[in-house]
Amino acid sequence: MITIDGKQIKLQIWDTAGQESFRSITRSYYRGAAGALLVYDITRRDTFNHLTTWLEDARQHSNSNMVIMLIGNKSDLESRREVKKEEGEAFAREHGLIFMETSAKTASNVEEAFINTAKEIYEKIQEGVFDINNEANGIKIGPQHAATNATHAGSQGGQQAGGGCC
Amino acid sequence: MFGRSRSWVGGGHGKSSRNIHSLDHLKYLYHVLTKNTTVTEQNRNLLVETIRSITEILIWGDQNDSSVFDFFLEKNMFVFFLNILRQRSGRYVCVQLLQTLNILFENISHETSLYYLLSNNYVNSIIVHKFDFSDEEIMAYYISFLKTLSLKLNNHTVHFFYNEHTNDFALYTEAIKFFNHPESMVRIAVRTITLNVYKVSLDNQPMLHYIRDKTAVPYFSNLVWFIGSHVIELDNCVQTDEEHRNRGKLSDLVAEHLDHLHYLNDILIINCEFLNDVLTDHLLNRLFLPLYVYSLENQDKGGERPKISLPVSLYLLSQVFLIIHHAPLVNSLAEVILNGDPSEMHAKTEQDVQRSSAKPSIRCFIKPTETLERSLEMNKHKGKRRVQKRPNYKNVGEEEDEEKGPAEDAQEDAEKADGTEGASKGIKTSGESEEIEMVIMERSKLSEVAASTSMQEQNTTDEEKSAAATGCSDSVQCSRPFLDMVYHALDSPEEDYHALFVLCLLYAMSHNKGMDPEKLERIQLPVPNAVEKTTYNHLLAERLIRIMNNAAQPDGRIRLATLELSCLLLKQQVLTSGNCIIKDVHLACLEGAREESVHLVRHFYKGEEIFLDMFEDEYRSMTMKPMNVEYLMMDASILLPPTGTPLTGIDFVKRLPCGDVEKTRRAIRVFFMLRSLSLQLRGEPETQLPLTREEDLIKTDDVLDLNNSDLIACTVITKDGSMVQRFLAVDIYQMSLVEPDVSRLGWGVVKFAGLLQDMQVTGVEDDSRALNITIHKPASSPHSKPFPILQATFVFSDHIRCIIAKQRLAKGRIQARRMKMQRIAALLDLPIQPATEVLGFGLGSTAPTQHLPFRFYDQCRRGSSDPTVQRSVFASVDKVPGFAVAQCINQHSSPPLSSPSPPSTSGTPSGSGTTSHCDSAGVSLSSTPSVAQSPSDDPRTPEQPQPHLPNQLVIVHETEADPKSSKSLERSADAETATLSPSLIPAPQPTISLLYEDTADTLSVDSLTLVPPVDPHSLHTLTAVPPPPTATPDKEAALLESAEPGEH
Repeated sequence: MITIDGKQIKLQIWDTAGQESFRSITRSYYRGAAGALLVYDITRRDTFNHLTTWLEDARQHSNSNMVIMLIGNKSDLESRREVKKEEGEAFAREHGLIFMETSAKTASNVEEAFINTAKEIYEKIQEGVFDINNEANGIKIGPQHAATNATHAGSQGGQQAGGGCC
Repeated sequence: MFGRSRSWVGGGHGKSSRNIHSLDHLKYLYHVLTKNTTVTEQNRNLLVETIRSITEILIWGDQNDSSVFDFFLEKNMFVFFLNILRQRSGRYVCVQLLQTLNILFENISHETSLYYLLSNNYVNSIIVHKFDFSDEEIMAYYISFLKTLSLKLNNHTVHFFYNEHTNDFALYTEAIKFFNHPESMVRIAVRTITLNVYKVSLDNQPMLHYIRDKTAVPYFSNLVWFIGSHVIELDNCVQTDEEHRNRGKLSDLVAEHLDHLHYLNDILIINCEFLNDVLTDHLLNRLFLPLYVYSLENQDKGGERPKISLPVSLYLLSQVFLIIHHAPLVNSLAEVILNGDPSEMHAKTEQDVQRSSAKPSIRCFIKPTETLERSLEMNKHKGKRRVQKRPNYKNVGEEEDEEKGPAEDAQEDAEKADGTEGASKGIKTSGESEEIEMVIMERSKLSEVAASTSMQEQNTTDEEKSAAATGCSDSVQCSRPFLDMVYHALDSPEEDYHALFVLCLLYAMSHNKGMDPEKLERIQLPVPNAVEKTTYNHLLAERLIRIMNNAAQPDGRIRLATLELSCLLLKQQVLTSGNCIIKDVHLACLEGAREESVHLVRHFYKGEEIFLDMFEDEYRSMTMKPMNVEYLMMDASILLPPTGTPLTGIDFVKRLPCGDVEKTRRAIRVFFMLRSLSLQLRGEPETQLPLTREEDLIKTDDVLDLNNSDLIACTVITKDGSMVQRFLAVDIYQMSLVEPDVSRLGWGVVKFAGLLQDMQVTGVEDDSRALNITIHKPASSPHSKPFPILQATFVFSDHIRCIIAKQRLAKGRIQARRMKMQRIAALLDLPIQPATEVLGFGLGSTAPTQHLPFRFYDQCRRGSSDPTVQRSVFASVDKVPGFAVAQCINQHSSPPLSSPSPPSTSGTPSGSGTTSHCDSAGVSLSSTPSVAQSPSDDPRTPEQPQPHLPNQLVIVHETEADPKSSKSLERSADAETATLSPSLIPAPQPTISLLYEDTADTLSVDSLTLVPPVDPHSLHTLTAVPPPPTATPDKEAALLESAEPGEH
């Protein structure tokens, strides 16, 4: 539960981790989500290199208005960094994503990542981009007119740092 | 939920957590539990917090201290959890408990810890606990819990869930009861669980038998019915649509269908033979054949049978073939579509049924006799009768009735919500008429024992195979109604509503990996990359070409997607490894279509700036995003009749153009597609597109010889405030920023290069020495905005240089664009538009006496033999301003300049005259009177052209020695001559000429124009400019030297 603009918003977070082998499952996740967090590991370049495929997949199967956040995780491991922050930024700019670096271990920016996603979705709702009456968009109006957003975290590449999060 | 997760993270790393995460603390918590065995309002929060803490300690213990688990097990602490649950302690506690358990199981990493948790069957007790599933949140956490558990399934853990002796598999059977839950996330979770279960069942024979014998038929038949109901609803949605109002709903239904297909495919690719047989049988005989395929046939026939409309059926079948590649399934399906006679098939299967009075292989789409819950219950009871008791039997028995209530309600709700009620009623009646068969089914189901089932199954499969075999041998003579229908749908020339689906279906079938190539060969539809092909399907090819022809008409109602798909299919048919087997007559028709498309674009060709951007953008989007048929068929909007208005939000390629701009875009696309198809079929390479090739451009870190180039020193201040000293140089298409090469005097290293055409230059208000320059990179995807690759302020040493730079850039921009426009004109066989500025420029280049308003610095580097500048040989080909240029293929494949192969094509003009053919545009400009009058400049004399080799225009025209075009060539050349002459002496441009005073003599180097002869009769229009002045004699000499060995 978070509050944006005085409105209670409940985030429903789904993690695709471990289910990528079933195409039908990832596909369904994308489709029912209003936002996605595309996470790579800044200490492993290969996870960054795979972003294009993931993004393509996400775009193809999701609502075209889906908010996509690009997250470079493990920002606490500066010494082992393989992907520069600028590269992440450039990728995000080129593909129209929002970029952040986080550390699940130190919890730095983690909450912000989710809140920013929610904010972005909320803005899109305000702009009327999302049809809130269509549940397939992943948005439901709560009983007290509080919007409920289904967001999903599409994590990849060793995201277990920090235990129970996402 | 989020807040809680965070507290986990925090708790896991906080220093104060030391004493919380310990065995002692767990003991304390145990104590709390024993004190609070009854849940009350007062201790509710305490209990929830206790359970949460216990879970936290368990996760910690999993990684740090195994004694925690010992204690947990020893004290049977799970029982407390269960007790709390069973007290019907209310929503709050249920949710918290489920959530906590979820987190626990998700984060346990050691197998042994997991075994501890799973032992004693407590988890199964929680699974079968009757939660209040009408509560959304409980439902969500419950199904997530099951999903988490299913992810932990493996060969070892499966025994905790599946009890071989009692035939209990609560995780699976409880989960599949929700297969048609109205909440999509629940359905997804159910699919995940089943897939995880099937995956594990591969290595576990008893479990596999259990799944197949006890659950497969009920589950799959219900699933298939569920899918079919959606399909009928989808069809209704299409039928009742007005003005595309149903699109939102339709796209949901289509997405749902795709989800189902992907799910079915995921099951099939687990490759569990037992399951696949049952599933394939159900899919084919209960859904695909009776509902999809039979609907292809004449819509009036077939009486009461549920039907869907033709486009929907074609569309859905395409999806099936695109997604499912399971060979037995797709082959049987294709067999019926391509060869089958439905009435015959139908009769045959009915006989079969009567004879064997077994398997539900009646081909009809009917509702399963009982709900999934009931079937499962019945199977369970059967199981129980055999085995006496199971641990929680009593518990389940008590609550059985309760369970049925809400679950059935849920299903009905689902149907209501989906609005299938009307549809399903209609089918129910038809279902009743099949009563007898159903009874048979019922009985067989009841009497089935494992062994007999597998036998019967094999029987039916064999029967089916033989039936299919007879079907196809018969089919040679008998009619093929479905295939006829498919072809017929291609026949409407007016619009492509049906045609697009048919093409997709054919494409999908031929690209299906599970498909037996022989099946397709029978209708001469080759699989892609088939090695040997001698014939192709003329019927189909003619229809495809007709579509192309229609598309090239000004008012053609063929969508771009249809055209692209037609091109793909035609190529697939007639191209074999490098060879093309297309018949001349077909090729001629195709050429006709291409010609039409050229006319179509010419109609829209304008001098406007935007045309060039559109032209390049269309090319980019066409090459960067080639058609993906699977993606195309995911779009529900094509299910509705084609529309023109972009207000629908339908992608441009999937609708008709609206307004002039879109008509232009469409014309350009049609032109690109047909041109590329025609070139491919004739085995010719594309030499003129794209207008700017990457390899022609200057790139960052290129090292250029900048001697005698015009360079303007400036300070570049980027947005982030960094400041660098650079020299600004302007090339024909690009501006670049260079810094001196320390190793060689007069050379420079490119630090930035950007296309002039995408550049914006503005002055800076309060600084007359500065310019703001922005260069945008065209957007590469619809999601990204065009973002600036350069956004900087350039500060020059004084305002004069600033003005010079500004003018040079502005001019360069116009010039770069104009040249590209002229190349487009050349592509379209259009005469060059004689705009005055062009002429001022173009003529300057051919008349050495004129001051060139502009010059290109890179002329100087073209003679270099340095391998780092090898590119210059390509670049220089285009150097003559105002010319539409194409390059010979072996010219740009030639490595460094020092060993050039160009001479072989361009250096021996007589030779190239036969193979290369001058474009009318190139000729028209080069044929300026002044030179045409001097016959001594005949480029065929070998000595003269050679020094100017790099300047040569070598144009390969696609139709060699085409009499028509060479005529038009002459004509346009003459016309140009007439229009050109008045403007031969353009007014010098004072501001800029300042700059060129000292370089005037080198200008003519830039302006060398040499056009190789085409064929003898057009020779008189061709020109070569007099040999260059001596500005760069050594380089020219080097060139001459290197060129000669190549020639002789």
